[in-house]
Amino acid sequence: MSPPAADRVRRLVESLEGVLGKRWVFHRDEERLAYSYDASLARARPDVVCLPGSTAEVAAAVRAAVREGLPFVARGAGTGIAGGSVPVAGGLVIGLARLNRILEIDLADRYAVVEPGVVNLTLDQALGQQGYCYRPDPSSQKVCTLGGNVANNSGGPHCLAYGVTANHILGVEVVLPDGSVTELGARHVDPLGYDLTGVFVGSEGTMGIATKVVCRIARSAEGVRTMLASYARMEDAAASVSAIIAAGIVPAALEMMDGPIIRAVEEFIGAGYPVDAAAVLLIEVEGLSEGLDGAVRSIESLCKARGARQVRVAGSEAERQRLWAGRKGALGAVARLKPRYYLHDGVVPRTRLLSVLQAIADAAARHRLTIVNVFHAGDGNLHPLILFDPADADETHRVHVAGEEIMRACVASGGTLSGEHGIGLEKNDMMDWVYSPEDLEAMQRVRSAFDPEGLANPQKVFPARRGCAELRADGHGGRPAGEMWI
Amino acid sequence: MSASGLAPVDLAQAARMAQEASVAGQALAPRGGNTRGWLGRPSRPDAVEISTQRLSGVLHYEPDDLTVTVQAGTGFRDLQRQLGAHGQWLPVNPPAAAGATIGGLLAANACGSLRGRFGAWRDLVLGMSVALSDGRVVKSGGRVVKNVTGYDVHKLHVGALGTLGLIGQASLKILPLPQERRIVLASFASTADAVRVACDIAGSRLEPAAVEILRGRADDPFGLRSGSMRAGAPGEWALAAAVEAGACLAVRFAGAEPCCARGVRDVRALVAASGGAHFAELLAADCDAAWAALDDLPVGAGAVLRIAATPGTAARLVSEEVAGTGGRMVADVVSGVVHLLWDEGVGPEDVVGRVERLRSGFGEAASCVLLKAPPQVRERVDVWGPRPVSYPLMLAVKRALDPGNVWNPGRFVGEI
Amino acid sequence: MAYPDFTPARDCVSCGLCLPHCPTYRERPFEMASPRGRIQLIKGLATGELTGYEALDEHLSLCLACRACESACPSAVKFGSLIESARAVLNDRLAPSWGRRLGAFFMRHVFPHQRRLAAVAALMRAYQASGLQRLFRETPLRGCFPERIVELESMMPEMSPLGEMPAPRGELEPYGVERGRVGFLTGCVMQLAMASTNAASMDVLRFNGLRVVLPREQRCCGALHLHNGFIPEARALARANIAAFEEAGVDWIVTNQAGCGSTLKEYGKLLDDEPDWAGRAEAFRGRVRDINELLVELGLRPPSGRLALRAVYDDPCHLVHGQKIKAQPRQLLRAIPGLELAEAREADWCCGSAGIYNVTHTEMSLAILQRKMDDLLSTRPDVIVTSNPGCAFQLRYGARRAGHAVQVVHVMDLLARSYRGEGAGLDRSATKGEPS
Repeated sequence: MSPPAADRVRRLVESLEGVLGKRWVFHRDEERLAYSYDASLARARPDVVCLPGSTAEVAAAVRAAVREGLPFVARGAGTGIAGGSVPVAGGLVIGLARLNRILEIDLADRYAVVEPGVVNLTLDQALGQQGYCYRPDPSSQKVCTLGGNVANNSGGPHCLAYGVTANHILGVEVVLPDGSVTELGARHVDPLGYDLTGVFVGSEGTMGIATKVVCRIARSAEGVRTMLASYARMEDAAASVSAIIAAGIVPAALEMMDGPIIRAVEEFIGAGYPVDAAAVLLIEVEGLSEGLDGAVRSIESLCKARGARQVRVAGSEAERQRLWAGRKGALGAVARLKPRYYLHDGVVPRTRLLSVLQAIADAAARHRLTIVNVFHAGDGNLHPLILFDPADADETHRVHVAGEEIMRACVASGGTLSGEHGIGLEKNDMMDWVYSPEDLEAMQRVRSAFDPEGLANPQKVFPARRGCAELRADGHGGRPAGEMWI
Repeated sequence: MSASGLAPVDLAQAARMAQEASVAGQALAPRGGNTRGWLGRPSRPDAVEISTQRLSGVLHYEPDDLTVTVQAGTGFRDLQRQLGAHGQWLPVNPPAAAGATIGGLLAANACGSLRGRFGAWRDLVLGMSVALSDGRVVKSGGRVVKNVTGYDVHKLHVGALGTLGLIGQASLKILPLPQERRIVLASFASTADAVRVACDIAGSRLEPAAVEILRGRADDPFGLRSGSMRAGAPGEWALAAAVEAGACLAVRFAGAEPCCARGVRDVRALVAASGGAHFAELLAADCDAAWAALDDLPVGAGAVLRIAATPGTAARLVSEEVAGTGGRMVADVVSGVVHLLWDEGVGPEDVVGRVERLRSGFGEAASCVLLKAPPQVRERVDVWGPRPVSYPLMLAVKRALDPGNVWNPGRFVGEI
Repeated sequence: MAYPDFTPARDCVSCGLCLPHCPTYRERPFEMASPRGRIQLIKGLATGELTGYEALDEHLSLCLACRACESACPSAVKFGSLIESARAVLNDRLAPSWGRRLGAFFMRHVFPHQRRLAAVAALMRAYQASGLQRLFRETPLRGCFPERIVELESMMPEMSPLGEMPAPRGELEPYGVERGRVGFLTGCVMQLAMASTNAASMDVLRFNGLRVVLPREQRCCGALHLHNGFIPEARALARANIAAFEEAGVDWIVTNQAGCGSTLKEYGKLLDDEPDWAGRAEAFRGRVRDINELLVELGLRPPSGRLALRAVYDDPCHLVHGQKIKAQPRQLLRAIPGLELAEAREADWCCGSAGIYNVTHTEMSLAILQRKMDDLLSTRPDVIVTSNPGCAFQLRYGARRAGHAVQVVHVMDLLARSYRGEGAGLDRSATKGEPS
């Protein structure tokens, strides 16, 4: 670090310590290293880390950083898999873990106000006691925070019926990159003026830091039925997905797992999946009790007509939990199959599922790789996992080539790069596959309305010139980006 | 406003026109079906209309994807007909939809009471292409249902009244048509009772498509009888009768037959338990007629104030305001959107007074927008109301996307 | 690979699933106090990327080594051995301080020697029994001492009576038909402060038809040494214990202490680079059972003495996370007639005892203990049950602090009570080698 830069960091530390107290400001080597990662492979150390305890402290921290011309990056639980919270340009990491209070739950008005560090599942459980729920359920919901969900517009299995995070956020209190505090949206629908909340959600921390989030809450469904359809052929499972959607049924969740995943799950978790199946669909319907049997019957006959060998309906809550444990633990199980895997998050129109799955299989064959699939079939949100051993340099190279081919196939089918994981550092250089320079420039202009100096989480989302920062592969055996949550 | 408007044949041409306008310092006013000229502040007198009439038609529709990509000038009802042929629909029910275009409804953020169940435009828009005033056509989002690739800039255009650019095409999430639709009508002597039952239903697990409270004038329940709205199908007569009898509760269901039946049954029991008079259960053609009539009620007056609040606040408002004024009202208690309707009988002074009183009463707890108002009212009160706290950011967004201030200047919130 | 072994760090994908399960992260929500963060620091230590050893120690020593993160980890990272390895490396690299010297003295010269440890315990017992403790606790004298001393004094567990302190040795006959031969680890702290629990445990084993063998040469298991990075000392103790129990010729080696059991089961790994010992250690490891585990494995002989108590069970970390033993103790307790078993919300969370953690990190330990007591007492129990001495001391201290009269006992205490009510007619003089 050049001396002037070191001076700026020193002054930043001093002013942060003045506001937050020494206890919540970190800048020693090991502390910077502990904030150099998220759940992706990207690594870059911040210069300073702080953990503010209030909106005012967040604002003060932002002001302190921008006063020194240093960038700042907000961080929730650090479970992102696109490198969104990795401080690739150095500067200040503002950890929001201390802002973890549920401030208000108003059932009559059907909203909750939370601080950004509240864990997704914590809110859902608090509501669940009263018969309500918060719909978006990313697979990392036990850990990930609502602030992070807002930044990434997170999804989850049940987004098929209920929509993603953006559909459930009414408003946010935001610390803007100039250190001022404002409110976007409201506690009610249709606030006056432009839908700034809508564009802020999913902006990956590049427009400011949410310090309060107004979440829409919903009455939990009266009943739920979960079923597992098993197939001898992957094509039949994919055809069943189309058939269910085409028949006018929108299940709450519609997930697909292929043969290798099924066997891994059975070995490590024992969810009761048939190990000789080439694919299973995990299907859940929710709603009024009166409608469930009919929906289950329709789905069952649709699946059977398309070659399902068996359709099993969970007979108890315990069995239902077990079926979901298999799905939610699938990634952990795969982690034990082969040393590493590389996960993509492409989305395709639902009618193109089968052809893109075929393209994935072709890529696997062409590059001599094992690729397994566990994904949100109902949404067309694919999650191919390319298994490999990082010790094999040639194989590792082929993984990247195959990954790129798969993403191109998704885009060519009318789909896109990411359905729920975000762009971050992982896919920003692919952005020009789906957007023209004009499209990107327009997005940049919107960003500049919030952040004219470009100090809020720089070098994310948009194509960046790599190499200027400390970004590197994890030399001690980490896995490539994007591998945990699906 | 210039009589000879522009009518580009494609979005690229629209963008070029906008660029030329920018160079010439000319303002452009986007125009769709011209069904909502009353909305917002007046256009600048020198603004040239730019119509989407030649930007019409479905661009991409694969029914099994449950998405559709349409040009902005496509008629809302035309689109519904095309989707309906495949057993699908766009689950929004804006009032005054006859002649309205998709682009216009998006720009006006014209939703109806189904939004609580199926989402508003912002929830249904997957992507958009827009002509900017620098001559560029830009897109955001895509046509898949889950997408976090780049910013959702399209959400900014929803409800922006064309002040950021001309919406050229949009990809939308659609749904299978519900197997069955039903409406339950009930009336109550006291509005408070109607509100209580409505809130119970909205907070229940019945998953109604919409829960509305209607309060009409006894001599002319929303014009349903006078024939000013429609010919008077049996469903409308039932609706009129329910409104005449007091505070009317209209609960709509859309879904599988057994679920609708259960909903109707439970609502009937709730009504009976709270002393309401059960009026009618409408099915089939009767339901369709009443459904369409209900959709149009919110803007059926010369002056309409639209209040968006939380559901609880909206419920309190319904009880208090009706008791206070006896005016007409359509309240969606699921989403918390209340329309207050004032006829010619309520003078401009009175309208202004009520609007100001409501706005100061709510503060930031609701947004109160005068959707429709006679000129005498518009002169005296800002139809949008006070600027929101994030107004400076809105201004910055406007300047970022339309630096030449070409698009519909002055018509939006805070004279944007 | 033996210690130090940093290879498990490679399995960590920094997903963060461990964060909500870490007691210290809950108190101090920053990465350095989380399992994921610690693994990154340990990687930094292992690769030489980080050389601020004092700072590293400051962060890593905050870890309770409760291993709750292991239970939560989808990638099966062996966190326990990582933290032990890191501590071992740091012990070598850190400049010696007064505190570290004292710690090392105890590790090297007191714990491995039953007699020296007993002497310390006897001093403590004398202090408690003589009335000095009462004097200290109840008179203004307390105010003359530094707060820290008062705090440490208040945490002191109650020692066993002097007469019970010497560890029993020899063999105890089973009651009824013999089902096998178990070697019983008397442990160090257990015998000195919970001698009656050891007696109860041996009784339960005997009621279950097991011959209890108490090898004379058995030593401290080395858990404290291993957890705190004293690897050579831990290895020496492992070798001694393997030899002692081999000599006894037993079917199983049984312990009623979660921490010891967990360490005994790691002897295989601890000695796998010593050709003379690797095979023997592996064979030994295969025979080790926690007492709850063994009784369920063999099929518990149902006790019939009625205990009308409402009990709540608190999982020792080294049982539930270290050995994945969660159902068995509950199963045993449910077998006791009349006993009603309540379930705490966070039964599998650490109580903050963690070996000597409550002494080295008192503030954090107390914060964790506070949550633990609130959780346990909210079930309104007559008795709190656990299966490890350290946890029992900590929970007893927690109850004292809370001013609550609830008893804290071991699973075997209750089982033995139930058996003894039932087994009154048995001829207990038929045994030989009773504690001398």
